[in-house]
Amino acid sequence: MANSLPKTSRLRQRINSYLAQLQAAVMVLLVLFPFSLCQAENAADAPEPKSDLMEMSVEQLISVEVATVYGASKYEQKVTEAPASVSIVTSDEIRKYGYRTLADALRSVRGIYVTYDRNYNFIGIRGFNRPGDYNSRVLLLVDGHRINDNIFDTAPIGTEFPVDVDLIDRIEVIRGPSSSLYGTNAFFGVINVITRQPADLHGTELAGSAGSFGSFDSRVSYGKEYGSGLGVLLSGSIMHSDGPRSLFFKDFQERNGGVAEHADADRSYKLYGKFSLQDFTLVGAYASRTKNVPTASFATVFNDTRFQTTDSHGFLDLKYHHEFNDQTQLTARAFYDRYYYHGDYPTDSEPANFDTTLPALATPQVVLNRDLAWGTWWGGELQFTKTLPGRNKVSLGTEFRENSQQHQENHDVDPYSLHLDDRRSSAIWALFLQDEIQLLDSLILSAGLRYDHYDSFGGTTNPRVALIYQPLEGTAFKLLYGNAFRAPNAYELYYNDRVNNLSNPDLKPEKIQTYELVYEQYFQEHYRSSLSGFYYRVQDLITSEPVDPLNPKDSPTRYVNVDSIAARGVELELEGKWQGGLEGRVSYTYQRAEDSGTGADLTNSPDHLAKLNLIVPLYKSVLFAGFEEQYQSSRLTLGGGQTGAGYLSNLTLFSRGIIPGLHLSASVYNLFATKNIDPGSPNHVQGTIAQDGRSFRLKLDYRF
Amino acid sequence: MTTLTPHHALLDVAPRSSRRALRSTALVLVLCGLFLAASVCASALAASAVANSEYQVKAAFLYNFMKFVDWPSDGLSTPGTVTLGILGKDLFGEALEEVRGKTVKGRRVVVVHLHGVEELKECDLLYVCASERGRLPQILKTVQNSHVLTVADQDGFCQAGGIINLVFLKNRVGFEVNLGAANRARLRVSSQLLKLARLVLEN
Repeated sequence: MANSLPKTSRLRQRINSYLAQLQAAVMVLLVLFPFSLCQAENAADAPEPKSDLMEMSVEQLISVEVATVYGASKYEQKVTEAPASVSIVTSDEIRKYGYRTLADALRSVRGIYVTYDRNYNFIGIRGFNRPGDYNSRVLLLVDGHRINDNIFDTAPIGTEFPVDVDLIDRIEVIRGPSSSLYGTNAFFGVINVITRQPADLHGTELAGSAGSFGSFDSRVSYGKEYGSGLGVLLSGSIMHSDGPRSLFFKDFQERNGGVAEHADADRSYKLYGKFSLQDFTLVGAYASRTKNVPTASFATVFNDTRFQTTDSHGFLDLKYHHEFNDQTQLTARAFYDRYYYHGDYPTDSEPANFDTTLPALATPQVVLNRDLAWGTWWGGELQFTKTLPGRNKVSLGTEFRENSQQHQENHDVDPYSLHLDDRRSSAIWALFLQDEIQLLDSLILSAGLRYDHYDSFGGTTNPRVALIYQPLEGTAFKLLYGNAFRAPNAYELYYNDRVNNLSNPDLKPEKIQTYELVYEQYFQEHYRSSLSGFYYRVQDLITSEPVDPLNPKDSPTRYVNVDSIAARGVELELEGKWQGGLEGRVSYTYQRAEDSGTGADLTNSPDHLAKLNLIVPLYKSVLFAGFEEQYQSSRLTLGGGQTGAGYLSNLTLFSRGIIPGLHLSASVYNLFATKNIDPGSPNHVQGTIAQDGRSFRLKLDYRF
Repeated sequence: MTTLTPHHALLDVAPRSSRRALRSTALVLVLCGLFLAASVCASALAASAVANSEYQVKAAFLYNFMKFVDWPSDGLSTPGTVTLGILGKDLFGEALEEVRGKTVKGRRVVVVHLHGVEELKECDLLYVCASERGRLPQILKTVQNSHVLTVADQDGFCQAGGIINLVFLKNRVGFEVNLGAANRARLRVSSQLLKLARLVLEN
């Protein structure tokens, strides 16, 4: 036994080195693959070197897309002039890659990785995706409307995202801190989802899909812009998935052989309405999702299908946007949001027994614990933007948000026992100023500052400064500096059941400082490349810690401002787009994030990410293949283990126009059925959670 | 999202061997190199297809404006040609090469770069680059009584008396027309063009 150890470790070393070589080879292929294709494409087109744009009518020209972004400055600007590194996912890509959720689309974006615990999806950005956190460090907007709720601050990106992906026109991913414009949550980045306009629908759309695990989705939408200028968009969707019939978890072999049966179902419905008339837009949305949770997280009873969570979010948003002739824009917004969360947690009345060496408890008394949250908030925003002489674009804005209800409750259903009933309300107001000055023809300075005031901890001021240098058309260098904060949320401040978690009303906001250098280059009509480096420091990170560090096992936890993190990284991306619909992009990210106190690696933080996305027209503009490949290097799990490298390949065949108005797609997700795992959170017994194997979907979309 | 079970090390310690770090660094360098090599290789390829850089689109718009605006019969600076003058810092790059030499209504397109105000009247379509914003009133005044179609891509150009302004909205390039200014220059803007304009000023 004694000498077998070195042998195994040598073997492991050798395997590791093979794996590293394989990784490198795959990445090299990822980088080179599109070039071999574009070479071929160019050879085919070579005899006729001319640009099609010159042949286009004015009508066609006004619909040609040029990359712009709204969310980086709260007004539309060219991506190259935005004070941030930006990625855009278009509705065309959503269709051709067969994205089912916002999470699917985000996975394809440079530098982003998504973790799924079979209930919620978590966004990893810039090497940060701490297991157990709820996407509170990314701000999610739908047409500028804040989606993060007022209890947990969650940015919902899975099936619980309130808008059907079919209604998305494009997704803007804006990296880096944007608290200077948006306040809390705009910590690592902002995701602004822009929805389709009523006029984009031209009538009725019916969509239906069927997929693996008994998944069925359907949608009816209607959109039209009437002669009077009134635009109406109405849409309703129902989604259902049984989930895998059985899921095996080796940590629970003592119960039902470790098999969770019929425990992964997902049901949701979404309603959406948009009315626009002249300068006014009114949006109403409501979505509710119920998910069965198969993982027995939060010390619940394994294989008990009563374990489920429901998240519902509805909002009304009235926006007024007017452009005056004298270069002034006024945007005003009033909003009202409600969020409801309901979780049923079947728990053993005895403390859970996870020591697998002991026999299972005979007939445990299961008590249903119910966790509830209600959030209501309303408020308004006002923003003036004026272009002054000397090419100086000034924006001045204010925001007010009243959290009229922040209610958390926890009780056992039978016998009834109340553990928590915490009712709060709070208010936030903010002022912000932003100035974009053209210092020279080729040099833009964009500087912004926002002051936010909270009832609990007082005020915080966060700046962002960007220098954008464009020496030539198509070349942009950006030097960016920004601060951001995340205010402690109601859950972290006040959740107190006296047994498992104690409240900490003295929490301060988390802070981040980010430095970035971005180089963007457009060349040869077809290509856009981007190279960027970032460095950030996070201080006062809110972390759940045992109240009694000497006796952590029996001590309740509490959120405290303890950790600090430093991270650096490099990102490369090359995008290409050619005539006839061939397009693709390839990206690579290297990132290192560590605890600056201890120098320890962060959990769930891959050092390497590589992605390839490719759309190939197979037959005229009727049939396309969308292929994507994602790689992430091994991630550290909470228990100190490693997930191993992860590979994911998805393939979609998409056809449009076989019958006028008909879109058809067939997708295979995880084409090679690779066994991918994501790290579990502190609430899981499992160190890692297995992801879906190969699955299929057929989708039909008919417009008339 | 219920209470957390007690847990401790969110940031687990995993000592990283220097070899692994070295390997990562090497990998990054290799990829950077590949990326650059690929970029160079790609830029060496012949251009052949769809462009959607901003100025490619704008150049195509200029070509279309020449098609859809009628100059008075005695109005063109040189018979047989249409002269496109660029004033200020040219950001079109190669994009204008596509327009040069094309024919519009039987006339050949000539592209010239202008330097002084005195040259302005020699062109039929005057494109005022953003660098000239400071002296816009002077430029517009100079061409006021000649049949010059003034085009720019700056906020407030039409309001200041320019004829066509290219604007950005919703990911796309569009344009505004000051019909009053066009009429004063005795230029007839086709109704087809007006229909597609984002904004038509009548004054």
